[in-house]
Amino acid sequence: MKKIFLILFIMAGFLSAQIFIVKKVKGDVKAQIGVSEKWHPVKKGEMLKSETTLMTNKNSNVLLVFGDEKFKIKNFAIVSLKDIKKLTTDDLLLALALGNLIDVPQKREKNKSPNTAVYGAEFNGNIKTIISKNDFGIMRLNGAKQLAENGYVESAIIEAMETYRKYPDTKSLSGYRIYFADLLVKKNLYDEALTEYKKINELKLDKKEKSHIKEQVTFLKKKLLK
Amino acid sequence: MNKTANTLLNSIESNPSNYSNLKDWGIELTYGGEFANSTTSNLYLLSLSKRIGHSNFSLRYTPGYQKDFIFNSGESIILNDSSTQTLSSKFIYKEIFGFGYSYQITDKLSFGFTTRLFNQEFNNEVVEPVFSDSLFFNLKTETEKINFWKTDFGINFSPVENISFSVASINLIDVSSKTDITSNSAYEIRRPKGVLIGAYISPIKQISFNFLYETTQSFMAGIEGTFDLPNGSIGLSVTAMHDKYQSPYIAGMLPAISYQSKVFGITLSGVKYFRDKNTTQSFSVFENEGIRNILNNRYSFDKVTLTITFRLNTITEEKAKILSIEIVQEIFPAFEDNYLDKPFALGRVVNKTDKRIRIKPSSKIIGFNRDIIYSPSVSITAYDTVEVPFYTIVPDTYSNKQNKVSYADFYISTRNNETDDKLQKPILINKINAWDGKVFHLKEFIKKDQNYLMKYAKEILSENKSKLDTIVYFLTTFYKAKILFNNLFKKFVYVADPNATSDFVQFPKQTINLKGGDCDDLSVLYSAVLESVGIQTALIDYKPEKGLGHVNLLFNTELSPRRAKWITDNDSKYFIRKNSNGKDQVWIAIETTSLTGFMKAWELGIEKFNNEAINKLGLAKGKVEIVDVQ
Repeated sequence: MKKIFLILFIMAGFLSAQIFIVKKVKGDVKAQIGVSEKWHPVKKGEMLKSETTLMTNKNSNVLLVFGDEKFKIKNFAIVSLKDIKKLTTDDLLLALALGNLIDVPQKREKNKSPNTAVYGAEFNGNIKTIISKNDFGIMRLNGAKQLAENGYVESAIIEAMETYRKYPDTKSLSGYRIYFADLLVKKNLYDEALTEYKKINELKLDKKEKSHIKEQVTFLKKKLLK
Repeated sequence: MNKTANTLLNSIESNPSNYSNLKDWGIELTYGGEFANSTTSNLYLLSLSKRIGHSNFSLRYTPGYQKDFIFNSGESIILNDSSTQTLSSKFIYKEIFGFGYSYQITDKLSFGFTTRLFNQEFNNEVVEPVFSDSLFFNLKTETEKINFWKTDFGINFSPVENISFSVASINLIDVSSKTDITSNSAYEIRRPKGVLIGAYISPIKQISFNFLYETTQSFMAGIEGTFDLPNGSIGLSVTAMHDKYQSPYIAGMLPAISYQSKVFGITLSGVKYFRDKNTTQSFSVFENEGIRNILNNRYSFDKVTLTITFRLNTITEEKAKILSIEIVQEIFPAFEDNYLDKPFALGRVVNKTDKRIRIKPSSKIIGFNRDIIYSPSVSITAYDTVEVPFYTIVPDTYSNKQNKVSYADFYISTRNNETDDKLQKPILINKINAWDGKVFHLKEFIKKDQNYLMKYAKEILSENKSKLDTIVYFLTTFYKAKILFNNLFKKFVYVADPNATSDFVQFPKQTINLKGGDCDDLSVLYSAVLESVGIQTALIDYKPEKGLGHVNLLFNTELSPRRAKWITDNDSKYFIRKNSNGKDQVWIAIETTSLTGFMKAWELGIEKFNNEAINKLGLAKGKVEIVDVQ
């Protein structure tokens, strides 16, 4: 009887926490577990819990299997395995609202409007000199892109927004910004997308990007008018 | 019908219902004279009124209410000295005194009655033959006196503040002392029954109109203007009078000017008749029509009167009343600032007057407040009811360690040193360490002992000065927090709340002395210590589905996101908060019940925060709340 309980207990643990099995590893792939400060090399066949974060360096990738599904993390990316999960649009909206809830409340006497020009002010210079090639921020955004490409669009957007906060230099990467703003449009989050496009529009953009932003803003305004 | 004056003592004639808005005692004296050769008495009237509860009593003595007529009979006698003496008759009509009573049923409705005693004296000179040795005539006066009581009833109704109506009887009950009057019955005061209808309208505060109509086809119509002064008001009025038995149509005007203060009033008034004074009236007219009123008849002269009124208010006038009091917060003595901007009680207070008033609410919690605590004044429009907040101040010295039930006295006053109304309610005063379970209120505990904690924290930091001096400047805050944690908690033990309830929190100094506490005690202490050295903190309220919740702490490392890598290689161990200036800063969570060391407390704190607040969306769903201490 005790054995049955033990088995049930272990199974319950497995069911509640998703287990990822490392199917293939190429190149330099490292794992960080929970709040540990250390990164350790990932080996084929290793079982990873959802609290694990994986990092692939240049020319590296890793293939994960969980249940009947597979997930390949391509090179130069960081993915937290907890983000490989399906979320609803409501969850996404709540997660986007977290940003404002977490901030220190504005003091009334300050009465300052949110500074929307911070990116331009901070990054009017040469962006490439600020952002290191090994920047965790870019790797996080790459990981978020891969979440989206694998169908975890809501998780991808949340991860991107969190990355902008933790790695503010990434806010100036217009290509990524536009990619994730387009995802907001796909999820029919027009208000949120319009706000994001307006912020992106303050960055240094090339002609193609400018044209895309203009097109998207016009589209969203029409949608919102309805 | 003059509503601006507080008494209407002398107006029984036009106010049979004895309507009055007198508050207590009233004394009135009217002095005046007619523009005639002689007057009976210059003291017209002396009256006394008194209100007791809803009843109003009036008593008046009227020595000046007298009208005398002297007629020549047309008969003459020749006296012994061959001179001639004409026989005459003298009729005297007097009102002796009156009594009035009224009862106020509601603020809008009152009824009452007045009774007056009249005296009529008919003196006729006659020649009486005396038969003796010789026949001679004796001149003598035959006198007949008739008293009668007249009682009338009336109702006053004021549906709104500036409009009132009245209906009263005229000569309804008439009791005469003598029913077998002989030759003088024709000269008695005529007393036809009728109805008196009145209306008062004040379209604006300064102007009012009065109208009185008698079914005997007489009326009075007047207008009054009132001008407010700092300590009273001046009233100017003029009234036109029509009397069926007098000519012209408007028989006379009654101008008046008065000054009224709270306790004193003076009125100069008069009557000016428009008829031709040179016209003589025949006795037959008098005999046929008689008189119906002693003061106002076709034989009245112009007159001027001066009326002085005293209103002696020995009863404090209650302008406002407390209808109810609701205690909206128990007293938690630790929450000092809480009662300065959030009322502990709400009262419903009604303005009982017809004017806007300003009330000063105050309260005293027995066994808690040493003095009466005054709350901000509240303005209430006429007859309105408003919600009045009562605030209190927690005394610095309060240190009671037991809960106790006491009483709070609530007062409202509209003037200095006088209370309009008061009410007492029981109230629970919690012990000094009591907490209501709301994490927001833990801030009140954090604010305590700041001087002690500042000194305590500085001592620890001084001991570690050499270590801090080697640290790059932007990491100073982080390392200060780390050093303080490790030094503060190294000898501490976690002690669960002995009663397993969330109603007791230790003050920071108590926790230091006791070297232990539960999650709220330790979070309060660490937050207070960090705040004492200028490190910004916030409490995290993990709200339970049921049962007890949990509290731990965040602090601001003051690092920019780009510098987060200086304290960790794991970007899930911190999160970014935009400060009040819009600047992004790195914050970390600390589990204060982990007394093994700062790094472990950080790991446990951030794990819980990431799991409950971020991954499970607890912050967005309201299950986790960040409570900033400053």
